[in-house]
Amino acid sequence: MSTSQQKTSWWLPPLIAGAGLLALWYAVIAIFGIPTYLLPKPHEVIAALWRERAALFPAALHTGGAALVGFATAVIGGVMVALALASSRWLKSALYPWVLVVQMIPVVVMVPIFVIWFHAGLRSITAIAFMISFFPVVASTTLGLVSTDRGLLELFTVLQASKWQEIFRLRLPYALPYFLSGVKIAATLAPIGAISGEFLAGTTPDSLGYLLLIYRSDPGKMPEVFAIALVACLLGFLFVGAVRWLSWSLLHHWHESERSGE
Amino acid sequence: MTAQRAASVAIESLGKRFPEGPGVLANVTLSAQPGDFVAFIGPSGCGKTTLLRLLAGLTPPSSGAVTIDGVVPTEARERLSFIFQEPTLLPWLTTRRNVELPLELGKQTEDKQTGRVEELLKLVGLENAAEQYPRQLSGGMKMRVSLARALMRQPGLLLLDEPFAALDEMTRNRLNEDLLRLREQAPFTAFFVTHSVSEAIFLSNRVFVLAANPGRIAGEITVQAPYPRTAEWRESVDYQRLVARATAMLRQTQGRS
Repeated sequence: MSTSQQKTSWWLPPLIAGAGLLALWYAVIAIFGIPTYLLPKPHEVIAALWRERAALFPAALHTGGAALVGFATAVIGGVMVALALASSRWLKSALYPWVLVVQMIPVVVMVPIFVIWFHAGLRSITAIAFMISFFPVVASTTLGLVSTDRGLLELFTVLQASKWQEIFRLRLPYALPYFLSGVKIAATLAPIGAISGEFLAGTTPDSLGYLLLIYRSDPGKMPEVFAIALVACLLGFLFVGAVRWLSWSLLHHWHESERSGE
Repeated sequence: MTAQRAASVAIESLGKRFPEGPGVLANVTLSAQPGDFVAFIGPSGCGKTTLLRLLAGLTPPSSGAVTIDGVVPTEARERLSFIFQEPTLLPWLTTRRNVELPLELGKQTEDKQTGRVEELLKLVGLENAAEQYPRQLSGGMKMRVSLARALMRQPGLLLLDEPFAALDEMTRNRLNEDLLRLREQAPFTAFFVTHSVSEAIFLSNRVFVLAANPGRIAGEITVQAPYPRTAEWRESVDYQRLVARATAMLRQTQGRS
């Protein structure tokens, strides 16, 4: 296959499928006569997006900002906790199972607790984004740090590497693909967590979740509700896209996970 | 860095047993002169690998002692290099950076060795693969990187744990010849563990046949052919005769255990 063919082939199929899905969307509405207040037409969603831009844009910025701050602190804190867990066999065996258990707590339960602690502002939303991102990072990074190849560890022993060199030159790079797979999960969850938090808390001003509450109470605003879905989707895409790019640029030289399609 | 002199090794009634297991090694005694190329052959479970790990200080002995130039292995680490069964390359480093690794770690930070890296890459025939990553290299090339890395510190003692076992015979023969050629450049004492009788005879001046359960020395064969040895050495009658003798000795020990 020539390179130009390979270049066009990755974006052409999803584009065709996307156009097909849009056509299907219109067709379903026309055939079954579905009213706008149940399912708006795609162009009505775009129109609503443009009409409400003055509200949607700052809301997306606030929600995205809260998600980003929560996500970033979760990544930094997660790596530090993972390093602590991996440094001691006892700590790891005592605490790692709890990391997995705490991950099971649904956001719905945490929201009222965080609202009581931090009030309904962006602080509690940041806390929710943090909480939802933190544990995947801890779990995957710890796993990566403790599964360092035994042969490589012995090589470092024979080469008289210091404890610090073993961590920074071997364990951390070895754990990088594990860490990034955790960060990918966190990047998907952080914006979802933030919007769900705003929606459930109900009183976070200038946020996507709050706008959602307002729009859905008005049956005429169904296109606006869909516009929020679109904005949330773009926000998530930004998060995941950034992490995917980071992962690719760090790993594609040497790691199989970023070598597909070669 | 001044080239290190080949090391002497003394092994005194060395024994190793793991908790709630049978003895792995019992009462092994031998001494190696500087420049000796010592091979160990024996059945699986005869403690060959354990013997090398004891020599590298990667595991403590249960009884007896090992000394390298008169000191215990953990204090002789800057004098020894270990080549593992696997190439154990860092996948995120290029060939060149992998070879440089011993200089970046440990205590020998003051050396400027760029010339040495180029020289080693050339010696193992990897000067064109210097900027490639391990996943781009074949099994034989990876082992060459591992070899170059081990020689980076100019070791007095080189420990090799079945380094070429996973390679095809042609590549293995080439690497054996290369190993001896590299030894001409910078002499070192070598302890080589292998399953292959022909490899042991080709490389060594002393071949120890080990018996299992527990691992112990069953016999020694001296190979008097002078170095440098080349591929022609494999064609000689002497070589064939020694391979036959070692094979017979190995069969005998396996029959006994």
